[in-house]
Amino acid sequence: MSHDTNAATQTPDESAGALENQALRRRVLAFIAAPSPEDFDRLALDVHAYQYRANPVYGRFVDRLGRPAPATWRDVPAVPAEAFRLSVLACGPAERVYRSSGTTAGQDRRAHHHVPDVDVYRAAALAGFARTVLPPGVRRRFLVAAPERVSHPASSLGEMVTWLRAAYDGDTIPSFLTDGAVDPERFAHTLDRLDHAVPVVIFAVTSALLRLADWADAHGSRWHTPAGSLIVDTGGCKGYDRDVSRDTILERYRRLFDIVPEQVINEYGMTELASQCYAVGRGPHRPAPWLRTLVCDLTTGREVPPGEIGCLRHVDLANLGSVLAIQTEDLGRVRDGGIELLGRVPGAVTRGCSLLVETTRS
Amino acid sequence: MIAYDERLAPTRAPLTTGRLRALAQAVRAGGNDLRALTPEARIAALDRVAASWLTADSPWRRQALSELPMSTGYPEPAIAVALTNLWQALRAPDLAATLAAELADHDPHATPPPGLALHVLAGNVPGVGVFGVIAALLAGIPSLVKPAAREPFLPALLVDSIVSVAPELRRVVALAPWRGGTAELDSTAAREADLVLAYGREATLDALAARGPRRLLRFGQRLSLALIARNAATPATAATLARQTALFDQQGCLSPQIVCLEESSPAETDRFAATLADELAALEHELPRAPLTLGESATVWRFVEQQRWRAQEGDAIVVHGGVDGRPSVVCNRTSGIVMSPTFRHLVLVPVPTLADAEPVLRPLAGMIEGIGYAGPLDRLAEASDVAARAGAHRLCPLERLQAPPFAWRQSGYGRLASLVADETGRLDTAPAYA
Repeated sequence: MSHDTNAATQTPDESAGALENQALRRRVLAFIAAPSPEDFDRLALDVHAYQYRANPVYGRFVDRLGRPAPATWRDVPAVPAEAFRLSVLACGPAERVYRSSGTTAGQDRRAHHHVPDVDVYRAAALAGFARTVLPPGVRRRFLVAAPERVSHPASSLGEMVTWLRAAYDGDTIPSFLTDGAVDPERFAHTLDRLDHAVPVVIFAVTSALLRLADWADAHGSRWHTPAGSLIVDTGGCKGYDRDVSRDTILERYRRLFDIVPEQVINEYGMTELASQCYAVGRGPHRPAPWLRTLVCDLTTGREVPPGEIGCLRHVDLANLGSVLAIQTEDLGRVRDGGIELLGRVPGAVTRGCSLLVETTRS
Repeated sequence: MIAYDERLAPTRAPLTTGRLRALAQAVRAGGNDLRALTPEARIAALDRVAASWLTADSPWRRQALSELPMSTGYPEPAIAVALTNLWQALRAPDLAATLAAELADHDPHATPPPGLALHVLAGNVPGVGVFGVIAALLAGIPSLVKPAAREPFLPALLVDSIVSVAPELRRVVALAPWRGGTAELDSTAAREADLVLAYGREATLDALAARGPRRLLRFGQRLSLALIARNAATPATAATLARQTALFDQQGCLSPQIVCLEESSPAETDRFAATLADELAALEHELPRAPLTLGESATVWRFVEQQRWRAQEGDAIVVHGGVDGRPSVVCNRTSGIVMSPTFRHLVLVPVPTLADAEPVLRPLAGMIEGIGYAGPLDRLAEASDVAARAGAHRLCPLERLQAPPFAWRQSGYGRLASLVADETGRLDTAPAYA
């Protein structure tokens, strides 16, 4: 369902759409570079109006809902994240197609995010990281146990890691993930030889660090990371043997790397989102200013009162080329001006001898 | 005078391994008394129990109506229907007829019945497993009853009523409450019993099977469907089907999840589906849906959103209802199968003829428990053929789907024959229409 917009054969409408896209692109990039919260609403409504016209699948979705045009960004119709498994949601030909890992849904039902303009994603990813983790211009040695573009070309995380390394990393040690699994010996070998005068950024999927911690426990290994070092982890316990609380993870990092919680930053992102949220230590996740997150009741679609648990709905200006608003099944609640993440909605479990079968499609 | 055995003292507190073993041995020891009773005496005793639940002032019924809405989430009217259906099916004529049909040739001396049965109950629909307990006692098998964690009340009332109304059975049935999944207790129970009848999720049954019971009858996860002949797609049928769907929120194996409708015209099908969705919505007042967990709400939401999305993008699907979590009817004309998330969401599949339901149901082989038929009796043979081909264990008038007879071959097991002999009672012909 992607659309061919060949410049040589563009209709007047398409030309107008392209111009509108360019104008919005400039505004979104300007917002990312210098956010002005008072402009968010107007920009979000303009992006929505553009996507309604330029993204035919989204347009049909909005028409189906039959609601009045949104008055504020909170009213922008949000597609279920599931829609990224079923349809191509894009405002033009994709420059990149990112795919979810498919670990829970199966390879054939992975979400795919068609991104027509990778530069907007890049700008959002780098600016978001710079706001919370490392200011631009700083150089750090990165120890990575996460996907990278070369090994995972369809991974949006891998793309981001590659950009971050290009922006910050003066060294580029290959990722300690090999075929999706952490190589603890190689990771440990590098940690053993760290220069204690030079701080590092350990950027890793959480499961890789937990496996490294398991390995270290078994081998009696511990490391004293250089002062000023940071850990950026992501992905929760997906891929690990069991669910582990955030407090336990922070404690394991403390013992493993001799690092305090304030040096640990958790990244929350989705294949379907160009922007990220970051949480420092035990604090809540805070979205970048160009991403706003609501906590909603799935059934009614309405926001839940502050402090109550609901499912996260993201409104991401950096999703200019696909869909602005996405309703997820990630649980959370508003806390301390941010969002406390509480994992995914658990699957329904049958209550007895009724049969509950996941919807199938031939 | 029956001697008091303190091991049989009623308890609702969780058992320890030692107490479970002692209880099992005490109940097993009562088997001689049970087998000394003639079949007629057992039927009479069990009939008294059923009668005691059906009187206007039945204390058991009153207590169940007070406690079960809390434990199950179902409204009192649904519990009332469940109790009435259950105990009306357990009167003497039905017990005698099933005994005659299944155990007429059984020689208890040549093939003694098991010395102890363990019934591991589920909490999804009130009364699931009660037929099995009554059947075991009727067949001369002492029984331990393990209630589900979320619904301990009805099993306790069942045992109380038997002990009170039929004192000749008081030594052969006991409540055995423990937390399922507790390895030591599960293993002890599996070792002590000669026969285990277990109800519930396949994972639960697999875990029990891993404990090595000598014989395990698995009453696992299944679904039912409505089969509607062309001229029967009326508002009255829609109302009946909606009630069968709403009674236990599609949580039972006899709950309809799929509707195969013999189509007159697409417009008629749409009209019927819309009426059905309206009827389901209207029942929310009389039979409010049980509260859903977060996971259940999300599953329902995902289902409805996914079907709406598919319809929007051109798949041959129409969604009726389903707004704000309300019941829905999804009319599916695609070649793929769509499964209900339960909780009052039906999938309607139009078919050219009744016989064409068979290929629709083929992917569900081994999963279909019952078929509720709405249509003229002179086309029953066609419905019966569909039921046989689908491997259904029950074919009945649509309005009787949630009111199974005692003789129902639940999960394919002969009600009594499967208890005393190693036979599954698999049907190779169509089930009786009852």
